[in-house]
Amino acid sequence: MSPLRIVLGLILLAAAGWLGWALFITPPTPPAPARAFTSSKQCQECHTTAYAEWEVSWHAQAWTDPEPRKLSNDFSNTDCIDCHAPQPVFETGLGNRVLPRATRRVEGVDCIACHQLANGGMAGTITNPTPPCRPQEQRDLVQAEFCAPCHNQHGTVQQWQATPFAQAGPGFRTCIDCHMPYREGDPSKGRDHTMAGGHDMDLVRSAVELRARREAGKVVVEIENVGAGHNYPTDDRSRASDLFWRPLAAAGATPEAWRHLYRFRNPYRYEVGLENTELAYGKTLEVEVDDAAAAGTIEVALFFKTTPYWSDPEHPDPEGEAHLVRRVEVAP
Amino acid sequence: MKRALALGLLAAGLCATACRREPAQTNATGEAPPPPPTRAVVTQHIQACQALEQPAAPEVPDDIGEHVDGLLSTLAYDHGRLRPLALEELTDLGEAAVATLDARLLDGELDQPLRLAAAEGLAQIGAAGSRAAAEALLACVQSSPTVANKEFWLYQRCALELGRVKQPWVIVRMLQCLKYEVDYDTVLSLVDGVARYGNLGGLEAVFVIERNGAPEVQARAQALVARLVAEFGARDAADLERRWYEGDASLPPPPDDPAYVCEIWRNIDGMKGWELLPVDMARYGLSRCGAVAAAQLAEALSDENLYVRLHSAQTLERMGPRGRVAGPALLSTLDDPQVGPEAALALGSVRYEPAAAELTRRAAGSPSFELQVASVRALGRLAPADLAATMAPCLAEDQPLDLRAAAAGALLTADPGDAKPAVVAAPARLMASLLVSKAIETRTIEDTLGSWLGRRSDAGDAWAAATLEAWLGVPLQPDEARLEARSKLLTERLSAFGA
Repeated sequence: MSPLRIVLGLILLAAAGWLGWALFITPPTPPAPARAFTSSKQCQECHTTAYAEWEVSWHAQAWTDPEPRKLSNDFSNTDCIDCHAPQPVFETGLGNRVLPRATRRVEGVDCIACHQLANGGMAGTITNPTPPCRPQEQRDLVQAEFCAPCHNQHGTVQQWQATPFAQAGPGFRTCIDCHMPYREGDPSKGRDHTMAGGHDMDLVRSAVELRARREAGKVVVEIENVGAGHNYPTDDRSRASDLFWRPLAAAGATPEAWRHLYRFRNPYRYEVGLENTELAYGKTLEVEVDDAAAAGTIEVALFFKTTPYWSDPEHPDPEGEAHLVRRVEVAP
Repeated sequence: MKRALALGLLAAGLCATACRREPAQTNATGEAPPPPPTRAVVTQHIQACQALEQPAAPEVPDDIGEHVDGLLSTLAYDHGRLRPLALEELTDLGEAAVATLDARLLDGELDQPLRLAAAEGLAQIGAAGSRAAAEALLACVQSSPTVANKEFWLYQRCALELGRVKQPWVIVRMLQCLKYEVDYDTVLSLVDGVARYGNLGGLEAVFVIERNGAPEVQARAQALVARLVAEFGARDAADLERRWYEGDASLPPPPDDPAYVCEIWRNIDGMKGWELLPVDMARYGLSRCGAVAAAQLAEALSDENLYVRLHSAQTLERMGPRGRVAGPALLSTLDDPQVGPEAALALGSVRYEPAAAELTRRAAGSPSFELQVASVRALGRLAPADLAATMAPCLAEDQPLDLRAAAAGALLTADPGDAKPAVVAAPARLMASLLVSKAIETRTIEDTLGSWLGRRSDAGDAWAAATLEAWLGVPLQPDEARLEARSKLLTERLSAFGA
């Protein structure tokens, strides 16, 4: 055989070998280099929908919202920082109370706080080393224990554990089933990161029913926790839900002032003499209106507010300072 | 041909092997050093304390109630020579009388003089070594925030008597009573009581009362301050406050008492829990103690429980220079992944200068961004000579905003009042611009700028004095308007700074 043929043969074989390798032995896509995330804005680039939802959520405003700033005296009460600017939950550990962080506090409870893992990756629904954030499947994201490090300061997760929602079976629901539902009800569309809670009045309304009846010369008002997977209200001691009534004004007439009946709230530890009146799931509270002025048609209303104080405690103005949850009229 | 085929296959194999790219092993953030070892520090101390405190149940005579009532009556209403005899006899009864005295103390039906006499009796028995007597007086004061029908006159007396029981372990709990006490005179009594043990942890509360109290109670607060200034040999109130804050050697040393140390460990043990109340109370009380508490907290930095370590570091940070003895332990804690940043802040607060080199190393770069920022902040308080050079790279425009703000703040914090404008002008301009930024928290920035202007004004800087006057003249509310106004005025005035 001539040398030329040998060389040509070798070249052909090499080309065949290369072709075979290219076709059948594809090198794996290299994982993304480890990236240090210093701001949740870095997540926006890829996760635009979730970021946009989060950006208007109360998690995003946990640090900048004037209300907790006022209640904590501008975070002079440094214990408030633990939950309002937490270190990543996976780094502290599920079941452990969160730790405060000193950086990017304005981002509040941000992407990094919930998704960053101790190994530098990001918790997600799948494991994929290719994207820059190197998501790793973490089923803990959907467990109530994941929310507990911040939201169990006052027993909200324990309250949930006492409900039927915590029992295995068709009725099982965790925190995110109500607070981060699938977008349009479709699991393939991912979860809504708006994280509706006590600022979402539709959600608050879904928690309670208000009924009233006349009985033996009095009006008996019933409030039942029908839909919250925990007490009503829950979590922050600053939250309060107040029951008021007043005679129903004739059309065009100025209504009388609201008269306070009952408050649902877990008081601050220094509020001497006040009891925890949160309403547990499935429980009904009856309150009587025993007042001659209630002989005619009255209206009874349940209001909700995120701070417990009234501008004028002697003459509270629920319509001006709180949100209406439920209202009923009771005929004579 | 066969040879060609073999060579070709070999070439293909080599090519496939050489061209397959293995995943690159990168670690962009750098390797974290191993965390320091931990052990069951708190558990061991609590066990040791339990072994120490085994109170013997006192033998109580059947007629003790009648006996004590008789003595109380003498104590309350006799003003002659029978009074000291009654007191002596009560002291001799000792522990056996405590339960009865406690019941009389809290009996709302009894006349006031009898209840005050019960407090005095408990103090005498306490001074003779009865822990139960001291506990009874403490329980009386501690009940103040939690009862609806308050008897401030009684709590004040109990607080004063606690200062006479000569049992230093009561210090921490008396200080903790200050946190929720709303009655100014009871506060003054508590401060007076702890001061008898050489603890001035309540001074700041007295200064608040001096400023905000009604005229009569302001006068009592001023009298207390004057007395304490004289007793502790200070020049004036400011000097007394400075000596206490810095743990000045001229002040009496803290009591050396095993029961006091055990009380400190009981509080540290409370830092483990999920509930924040015991954590909060422990930090509040211990941060107002001195070197004794700092020494125990230093040891607690090695505890196996993360929250004990973290809250111990936080308590030391709140203690300030009195906690300097914990410096070496805090330095060893810098590599604790979750406590390191708090330890760094505490090193700055306790003014442990030997930590400067390590903090500088971490300020230059750290696997933990939190630790890097905390180290920068701590260096501002230590003010090493090379601070400006260390901060320069942190101020670069491409650095995260938190780091730049921390570096600028550190340079201003380190300025004793006479730093050259070339060093502080640019950081001040950056901080002024950040006052209106939505991307960073502004409270500490505003506080840092205000303190900086104050120090330069006190040092005789006319520019700072004029700027501070304008700064303080800005209405405090609403927040956004105040921050905008302060940002604008400072930015404008900085153009003339150093000119």
